[in-house]
Amino acid sequence: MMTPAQHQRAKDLFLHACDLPMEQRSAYLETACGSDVPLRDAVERLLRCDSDPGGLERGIALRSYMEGLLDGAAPSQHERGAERVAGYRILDVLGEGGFGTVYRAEQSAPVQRTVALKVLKPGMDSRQIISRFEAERQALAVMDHPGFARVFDAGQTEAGRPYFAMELVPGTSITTYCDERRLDTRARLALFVQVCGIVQHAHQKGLIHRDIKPSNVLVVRVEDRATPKLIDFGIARAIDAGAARGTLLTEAGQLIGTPEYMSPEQADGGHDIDTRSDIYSLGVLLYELLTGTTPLDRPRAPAHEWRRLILEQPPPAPSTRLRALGKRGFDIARSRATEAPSLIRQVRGDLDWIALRAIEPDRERRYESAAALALDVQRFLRHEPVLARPPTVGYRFSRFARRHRAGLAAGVTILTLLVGGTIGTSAGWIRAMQSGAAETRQRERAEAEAATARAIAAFLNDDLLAAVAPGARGRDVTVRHVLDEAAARIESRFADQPLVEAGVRFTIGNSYLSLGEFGPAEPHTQRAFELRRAVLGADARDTREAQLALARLRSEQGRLDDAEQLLSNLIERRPIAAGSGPPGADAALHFLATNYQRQGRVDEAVQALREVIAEHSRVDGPDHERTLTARSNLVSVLQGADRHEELRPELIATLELQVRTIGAEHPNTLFTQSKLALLHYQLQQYGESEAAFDDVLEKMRRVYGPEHPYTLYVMGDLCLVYRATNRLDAAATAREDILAGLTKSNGATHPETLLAHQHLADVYYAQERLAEAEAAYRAVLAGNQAAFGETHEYAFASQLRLARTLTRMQRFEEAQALILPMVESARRTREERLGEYLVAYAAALSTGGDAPRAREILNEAVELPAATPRARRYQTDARAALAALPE
Amino acid sequence: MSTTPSAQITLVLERVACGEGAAAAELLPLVYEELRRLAQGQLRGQSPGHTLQATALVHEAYLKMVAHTESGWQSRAHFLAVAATAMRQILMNHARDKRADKRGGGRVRVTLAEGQAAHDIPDFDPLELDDVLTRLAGLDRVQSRVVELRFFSGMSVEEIAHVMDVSPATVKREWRAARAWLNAELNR
Repeated sequence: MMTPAQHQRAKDLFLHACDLPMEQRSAYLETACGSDVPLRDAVERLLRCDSDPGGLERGIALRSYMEGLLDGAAPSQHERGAERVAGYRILDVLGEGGFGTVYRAEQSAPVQRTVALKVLKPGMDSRQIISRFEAERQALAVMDHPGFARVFDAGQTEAGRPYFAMELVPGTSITTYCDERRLDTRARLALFVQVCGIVQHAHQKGLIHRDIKPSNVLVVRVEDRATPKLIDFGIARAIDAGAARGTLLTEAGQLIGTPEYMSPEQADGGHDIDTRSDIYSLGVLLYELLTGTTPLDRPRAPAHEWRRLILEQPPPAPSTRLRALGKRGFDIARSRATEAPSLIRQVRGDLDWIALRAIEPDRERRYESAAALALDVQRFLRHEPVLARPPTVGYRFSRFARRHRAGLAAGVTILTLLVGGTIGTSAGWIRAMQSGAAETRQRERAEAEAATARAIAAFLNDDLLAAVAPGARGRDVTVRHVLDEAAARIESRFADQPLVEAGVRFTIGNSYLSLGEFGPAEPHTQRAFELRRAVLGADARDTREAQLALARLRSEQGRLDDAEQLLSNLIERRPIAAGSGPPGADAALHFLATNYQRQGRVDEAVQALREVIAEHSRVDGPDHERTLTARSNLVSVLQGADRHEELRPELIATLELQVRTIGAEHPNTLFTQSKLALLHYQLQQYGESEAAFDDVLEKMRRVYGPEHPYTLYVMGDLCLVYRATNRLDAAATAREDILAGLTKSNGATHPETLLAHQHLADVYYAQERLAEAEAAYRAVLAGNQAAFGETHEYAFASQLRLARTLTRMQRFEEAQALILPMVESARRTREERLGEYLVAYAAALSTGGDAPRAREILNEAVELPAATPRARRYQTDARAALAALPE
Repeated sequence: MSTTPSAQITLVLERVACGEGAAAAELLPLVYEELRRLAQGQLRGQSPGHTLQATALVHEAYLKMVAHTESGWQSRAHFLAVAATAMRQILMNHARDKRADKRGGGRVRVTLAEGQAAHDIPDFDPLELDDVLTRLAGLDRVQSRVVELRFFSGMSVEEIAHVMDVSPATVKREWRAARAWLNAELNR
């Protein structure tokens, strides 16, 4: 086991050796380590691990992760020395394929540029592989499309291995690119269309890629546009090459290609492959862009089983796959800048059809070309019916509705909004029926409810959707338009169906509300509430729901009083039975509390929050997240209002809860406890404060360690208690420990350390240890000046303290010389602290015997504007000093 | 409807940026809580192979918790530094819990991702990393802190240099050495 000193020594030697060329390193270590064998071993191990390409897999993964983080990391000697190619300087390894290694290299002639250099791996020089390698170069050379890396040059390395130099594509794989930028589905599809174009070009040039997958489709930014490039034609093959010309199996019987992306016919051994095999791979790529997974996730089956798997398990539609992902779908949706349910909605339907058609196991049923696939995706993007799907009336309509989504203010579709609203309304209606009703009555109600739902649906379909029938308007139909049309038709439509009208209006009102259109929302939300109250009664769930919506609207409109009235009314009529309260009563109360807080009505906010806490504790339990949220809201209201007395029981309760739920030594618990200790101090309960600090500090020393900054900061708070109880010796000892600890962890010149040093100096000053105080202040002053500048507030703060100390030491002239420039600077900048400086300056003058000048200065201080509490305090100090001056 | 502690945090960050380092202590619990909540959302009931995007979480927490009008990149750096500590605790607690209930065997797939470079670390045991980092801290606090900040908050060299009050060149050198040392330890 190494000691820290040995570790440092090894580290220094390692870093020094890193800067040396490989060949000089061992001589250097020889000299530097001498006979210290363990040291030398340690350094050599570090050097090996600096960029060791071998080692365990996770080590590599960790390294590559860290490599990615280290900006501008120099490539190691090891990698650089791996290959020599005349005319090129190899910089580092970009990637490794089956037969070749791709290096980043610098070409000096004919032009200077950075290129990708693909070199055949050692041991891969069978005739078959060499001819394949050559085929790739030729294939690329004939491409005339920006979607391919251009080939510049080819030849043999100094070791005799074939290589070719091609355009360096500094891109990331298409899936990574999309995820990192959180591209939404449409942006992904637009990229995918470009990829199809590239593949189409290759096909036209007579080439099948045979290994299309995300890592072979790189995206680069060209003139700020995302441009995909298809790389690695290592196993590409000419379309007209005879079927007999080699299979896709290596000699070891391994399948070439990547199983997940491989068409069934390719998995079968690849004797009969045409361009439609690439269509299949494109389909898998599309699938992955949409869902983050491949149709058959992570195959475990051996290669020869693969075809059977594909044929026997038809892949789920992308939207079905998304639904099956459960929680994982959350991340996937997030990287597509959306939520899981909405991603499923986007993908369901057309995109399902398109992807499934591209990955049809029977190639006869796939798209006939990459261009055809691209066209269908483009149709989807233009909201036109896609070919992959047989058209029906409903389908055409849904395309129409989506076609008009472009103009929407909020990203909500009318259909989900309205239909979702209908369903919610109907379900709510059922629940509104009192429990315990006879079965028959329940059935009658269920039938009535179904009739209502049908009526609402009929209205939404016939009227609302008729309003946006094709041709009725231009392409700029928005949700706003649709809502306006619907709103205009409600009047007089529902003379005998108040609940249907209420349902429709509630939905329309909420839709306006979510668009931020408060004015148009008002009549509907209001009317929905009134209708429901009239028919269902004030206590029915649906009525209350509408009332809460109306309160929300009022609050949004800034009509806080009206909102309050509605909310209070809701709360007063809260159902009595435990647990039967409709969701909404607590929400109303919590909402009300926020409402109060906005109005600055602290008492009422506190009271409302206490009720919410009580309610949630009863219903959900005291440890429930909702209870804790209300609790933390209460604490912040109390803190904001400086209500220390009330804060105390709250903190105590929170602390008890935390001890019980997350444990006494959890950081949160410790934080609450230290806050409570500080609160005791603020309430001048010094005994309790100190006991609480001692307790929390004992735990922090154990949890964080005695010299951890957090422990030290809380110790600093404890010193406040020492000062308040006039125990300066204890304060000095503690402050010395704090300073030592912070110096160790942060260094002596760190701002935190400087502040701790200044606190210590303050204690020395209070103890009349003036020489020590002087030395400390001088050190802090120098540090602050260096860190912040000579006229910075912090520098001035230490300078002022130093001057006070000097005044106290009877060194008036020195003190005056320190303060005068501060006074002058503050006069120029009208700095608020001028008053403070003037008072200190006057003190140095008067104790130095110059009372008249001190009087002048103090008069100036008294005359200063006293707009802030701080300025008023300086003014008071100045008056007191003036009164104390000798006549 | 919960009030975010955003304003509070922003205030603390301003104080930290103004040299009142003690204020940073107030941040940890707030940040810890927010991160834990976000992480739990991702981790709850997950299979052992689940991916937790640690640095993504940290940045998400920052976006949620700090008011952006006032705070500069220095505030952000201080926030991330605190978050790194919190994130490490969260990951380790999570791994420990997993190990305790025997289902996950302590293994969680951690994606330590940052902007351009994202790499999965397959079946990487966070507890092992924690052990090694703790050992490194015993040998060299600066190195272990640099790694912590890099790993768990994805901080840049400049940001680390700022919060640790050293030069970027020092950070890079310490990082390189720490990287080699970790590699050696993890591959023993």
